[in-house]
Amino acid sequence: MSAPITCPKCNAPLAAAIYNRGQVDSCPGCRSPVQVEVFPALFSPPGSAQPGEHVLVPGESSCFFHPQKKAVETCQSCGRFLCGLCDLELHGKHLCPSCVESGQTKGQLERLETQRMLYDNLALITATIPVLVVWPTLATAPLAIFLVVRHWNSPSSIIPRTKIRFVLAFFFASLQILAWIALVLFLIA
Amino acid sequence: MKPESEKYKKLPGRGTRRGRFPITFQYSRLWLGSDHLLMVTSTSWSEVYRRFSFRDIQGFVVRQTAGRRNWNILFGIWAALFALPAIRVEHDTVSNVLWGLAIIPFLALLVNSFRGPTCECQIVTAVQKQFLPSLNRMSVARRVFARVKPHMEQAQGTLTPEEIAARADAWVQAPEAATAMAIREDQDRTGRGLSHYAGQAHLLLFTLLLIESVRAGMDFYFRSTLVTLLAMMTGAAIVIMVIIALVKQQDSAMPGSLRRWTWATFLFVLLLAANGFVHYISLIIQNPDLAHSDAAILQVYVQMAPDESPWMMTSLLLAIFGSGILGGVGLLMVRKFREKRKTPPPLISLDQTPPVSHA
Repeated sequence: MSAPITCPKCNAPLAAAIYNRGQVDSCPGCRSPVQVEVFPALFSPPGSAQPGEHVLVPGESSCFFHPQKKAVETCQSCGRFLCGLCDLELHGKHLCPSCVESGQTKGQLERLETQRMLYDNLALITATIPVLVVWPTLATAPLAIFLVVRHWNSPSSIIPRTKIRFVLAFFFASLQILAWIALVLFLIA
Repeated sequence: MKPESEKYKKLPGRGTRRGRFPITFQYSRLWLGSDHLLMVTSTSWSEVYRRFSFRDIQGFVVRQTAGRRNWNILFGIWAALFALPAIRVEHDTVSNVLWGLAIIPFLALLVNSFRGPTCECQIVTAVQKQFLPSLNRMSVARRVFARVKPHMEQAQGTLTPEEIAARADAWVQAPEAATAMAIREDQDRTGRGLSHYAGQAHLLLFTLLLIESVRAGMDFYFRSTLVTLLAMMTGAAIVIMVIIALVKQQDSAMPGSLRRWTWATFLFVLLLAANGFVHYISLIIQNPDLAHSDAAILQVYVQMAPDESPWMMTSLLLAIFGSGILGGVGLLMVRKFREKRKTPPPLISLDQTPPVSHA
């Protein structure tokens, strides 16, 4: 069983009498107004890992990673036999540890990603902020266009997002390059 | 393996939390997935994701804070500062400009009041407690709970008040509860783990301020090049220490009062530095022939008597009392923090009388 719910301010345990009342009550420690919503997981014992059973009958399928353990699943990515210990369930799929690792490294398992670069924001910043100082746009405008072209198909945010920032970055950077070309032509003329 | 993608739905609320560096902020927002909540923390060019599976969420704790009242006071003062002169000014254009400047904070005050009480919300799982910066208003938190609750019930089932009371009874005798709670306390509002900083830099900073206070007092009776050089060294050490203290207090378990006191010290140090700079420039203007030599300017400064210059007198009094108060109170606060850090928080019995309702 887990520890009691505590007050975010003073860490005093909050009495069960105030759980799920749908209204604000006082913390017994600091008298701060608090509201607590709890769910059955609070009272559930922690789940135990499946260690896997030993192979008893000769010829029985065994785990690819632990040959002495009985296979209970197959990896849905590479097809390897897996024991209870090696079977990793992710988003309803059964995967082996090496597929999970490679999927995480290659960014194929969105569920395991903890960080993403936002190249569209980066391109837009590169195309707009240097305009304030004018001269850096000589370098940053082509850089912004490079970022747009290079990362147009790169994975962006995992939450819904349009490509409008890329479009704007391309538009502003193109304008700056056109302005520089016009200036050069004007000076030559 | 083909890349998978999840369809997320936006949940109400948007908040900020402290960034990795002082004065920087990150934006945070909650999204609803098929079987988990997603907290997205964004900087300008990257996003950090934290997922909370519906099966693992044990609860939400919302604490009502005084943010709305504090902001209303601030907006009220701001509006009054422009509105009062606007009433008295006879010139139409100036009066209109002042009314225009007063109406902005007044509108902000109205919006702030309308949005309801502010709060901080914590999500609790078996292994962590995490603040959710986007749930910063009670109304937003309640709307999010209403959206999430059906998913939670689908994943975990429901709890009746009788079940909660029966199951919570076991806690009163459970000794492991305290240990588990201590583990959970290892998270702070930034979502990163708390550092084990014990306040050494603050201790040194406030000690230096007390030394500076005594040193400034000595200026009335004993002025020499050596004492002035010592003052400059102390000043430089205070500047360095206040920056170190501000960096160290990030992600530490230090109380908010001590953090604010350190920021106040930083502002005081800035004030003293600006005053010293203006004094130095004025000495150069008064003695243009000595401008090329810092040593000569220093000699002129040492020969000045505090009672002959009102500016110097004010500066010294400011240094004596400001440094003394900041240093003395700061030392007491650091001492209290260090003592509290050594003793674990007391466990309060769960079978206390039911708390008073605020609703």
